[in-house]
Amino acid sequence: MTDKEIIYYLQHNKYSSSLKGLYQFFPLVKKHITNNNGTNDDAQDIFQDVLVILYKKANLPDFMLTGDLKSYILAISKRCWYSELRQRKKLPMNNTDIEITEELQEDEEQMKVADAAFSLLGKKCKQLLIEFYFKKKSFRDIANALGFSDEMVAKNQKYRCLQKAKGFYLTILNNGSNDK
Amino acid sequence: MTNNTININRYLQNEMEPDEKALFESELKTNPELGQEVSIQKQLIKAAVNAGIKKEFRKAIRKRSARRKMLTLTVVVVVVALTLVIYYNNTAIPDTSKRNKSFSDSSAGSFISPPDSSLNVPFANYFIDGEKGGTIYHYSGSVLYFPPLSVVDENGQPVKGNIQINYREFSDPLDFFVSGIPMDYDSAGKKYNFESSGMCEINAVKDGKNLYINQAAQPVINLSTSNENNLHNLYFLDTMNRRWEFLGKDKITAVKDLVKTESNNASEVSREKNKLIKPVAPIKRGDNPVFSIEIEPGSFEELLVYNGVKMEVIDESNYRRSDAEEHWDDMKLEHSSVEGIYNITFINSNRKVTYKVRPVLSGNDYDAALKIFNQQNVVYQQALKNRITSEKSYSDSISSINKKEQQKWETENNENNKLNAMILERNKYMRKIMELKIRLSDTVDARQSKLAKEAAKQFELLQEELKKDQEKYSQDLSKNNEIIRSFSINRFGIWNCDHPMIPNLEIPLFAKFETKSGKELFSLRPSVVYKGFNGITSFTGQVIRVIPGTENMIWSYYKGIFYYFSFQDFAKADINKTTKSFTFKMEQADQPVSSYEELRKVVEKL
Repeated sequence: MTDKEIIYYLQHNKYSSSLKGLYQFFPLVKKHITNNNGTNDDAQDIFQDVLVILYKKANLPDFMLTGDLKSYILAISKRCWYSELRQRKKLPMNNTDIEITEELQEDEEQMKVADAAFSLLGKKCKQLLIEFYFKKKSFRDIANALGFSDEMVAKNQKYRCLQKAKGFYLTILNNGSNDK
Repeated sequence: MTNNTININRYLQNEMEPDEKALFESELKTNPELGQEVSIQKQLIKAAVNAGIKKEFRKAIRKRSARRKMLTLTVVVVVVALTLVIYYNNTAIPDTSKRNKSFSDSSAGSFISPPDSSLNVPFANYFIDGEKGGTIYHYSGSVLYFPPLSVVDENGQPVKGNIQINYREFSDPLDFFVSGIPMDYDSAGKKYNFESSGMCEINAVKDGKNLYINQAAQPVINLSTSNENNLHNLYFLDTMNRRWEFLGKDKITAVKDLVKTESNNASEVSREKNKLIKPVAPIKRGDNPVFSIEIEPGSFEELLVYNGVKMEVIDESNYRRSDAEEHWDDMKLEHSSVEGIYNITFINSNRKVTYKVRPVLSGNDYDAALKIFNQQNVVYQQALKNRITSEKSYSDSISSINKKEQQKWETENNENNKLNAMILERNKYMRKIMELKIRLSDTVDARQSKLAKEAAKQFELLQEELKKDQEKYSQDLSKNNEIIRSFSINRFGIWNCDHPMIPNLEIPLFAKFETKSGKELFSLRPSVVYKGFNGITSFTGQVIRVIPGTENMIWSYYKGIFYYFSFQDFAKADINKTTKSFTFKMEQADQPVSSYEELRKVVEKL
């Protein structure tokens, strides 16, 4: 599968098809991580993070693949792994040998807090927020899918879920800063 | 929701007009709290999107790894198959060309997979006249009724002339085992095990062509069984969609108390309750002897209204004057069969004497009684008239209200009568068959002496079989717990009276099978029989389900050999709720088994 085909599949939400091509890069990612104090499980996790970043990147309106996908993926995985190691306080952040992509320039630490806060939500809240923000479904469809009586209930529920996530976010953030 | 929240939502959803957006962004710069709120929400939305993407990829990864596992398994299976081919030094693929294809076999493919077609319950072949229909008496005691023109061809045209009906029943775990019919049922995603109270397969052919049922004249199967559980439902095996189709309930009739016709006439009951008392016309006393009696209130109301009633002997010739002088301990007055005539009985320790008498009056008592009678008679006649009118309207209303009920009752009654007649006829038929067989066996006896030794042996075998048949028939005729399950069929195929049970006690077990000598049996397809449960569960993979602490038996048939793990073996095996895997050391039947009868003999000994 060519790089172009993989990007096409990512842009058209063909996860399985894109994975077929993307998995050829997994051994490369794995090798890098296991050579740098990581385990096989770490490699799996990082590869998933890479997939997320790549998917988002590919779906940006002005996305253009300039180099080859293999180098691009390796660069993202190196970045992700260093970030993870830094968080584990095993390594001082040193960007010198890592190609920085704009997608990775966002505040990673804060994003990690948001991801953690989201992961603490209940199953239904998670599903509701994913359906709304990721799948861009209407409240009516969400109400039908999740068994709410009408779209107003779904809308209110979404507000509550987001508030709940915000509560978790602030708690994690404050506890984190207290540790310091 | 506050205004701020709404605005943040609209901003993040890109729903603001450009002017509004510019204003909001300028506020963001000056209001750090609002800025923080927007930043947090932005990150949380990103987190939701990230989670969504991860979820989709995880799904894809799972699918991919499942496919990879299947691929690996296929490779393993191929390797195992190749090993077996080499091991047996001939082809390991069973010879399917020998199969006697039935309707279900041909259309269902591997959905119905008997361990070997030669072991399957044999079909009994009957013939009916397509035009006239017919009744089939199966040796199990079941009666099949085909109405006239009940069988049609593929174009829906009624088939005339001789039609061959092929019929067989599956009544116990061995039958289910050899049939290869799936004995589980899926309902709303839940899997149930079937406990069967009777299953049968039926089809019709003419000139080698499969025939169908005329929907306007559906045949009826009256299945003989001993299970009277009314929780059992009726199912048809839909081989096209590979599932059991639920079709309601069958009708259960216990043969020991054949359904009786009962009178249910409500008006008769009410007549008894509100009985009108017909006044008795007073009669003037004649010359015959009379008895003075005391009428107790509530006993003879028609006489109670008159004063001075005496009982006059009707036939004087029977009368003994001395009886008037005798002391009687007791006296009993009763209505006779003739209106207005009574029987009077006098009793003492020595004698009992009865006279036919009629009530009489004399003098003023008669005149007064006549007046009372005339008055009462008018009242009675009026009441009678009213009664007739009300009864008529009552019966009219009853008939209109209960007409349907009555019709239903009558239909049911007719059906019951038909069924009863059919059962009686069947019993006669089976008795006749039995007698014929006995006679045949006598002839065989007579001829036996004349024949050579070899022939004699054959006759002996035949005789033995006949004897068994006789025992079977006499058992069939005498079984007092026989139940008839009746249902009409709208398709030819496999019909089942079953009760789906939730297998909540079973535990999954990773099973390996070996011979007693420790040789691994790779290709065994095990079937588990739970004692006391009239069903069977067959497994294709290596995970089987058993009920620890109860008696389980495992059967399998491979290349002419019947392997089994008996109830006793299971009791000795240390299998409990926490057991995850077990190697079953399978016993094997002493001799190769190649027919249903041979297999039954083996199983009956277990």
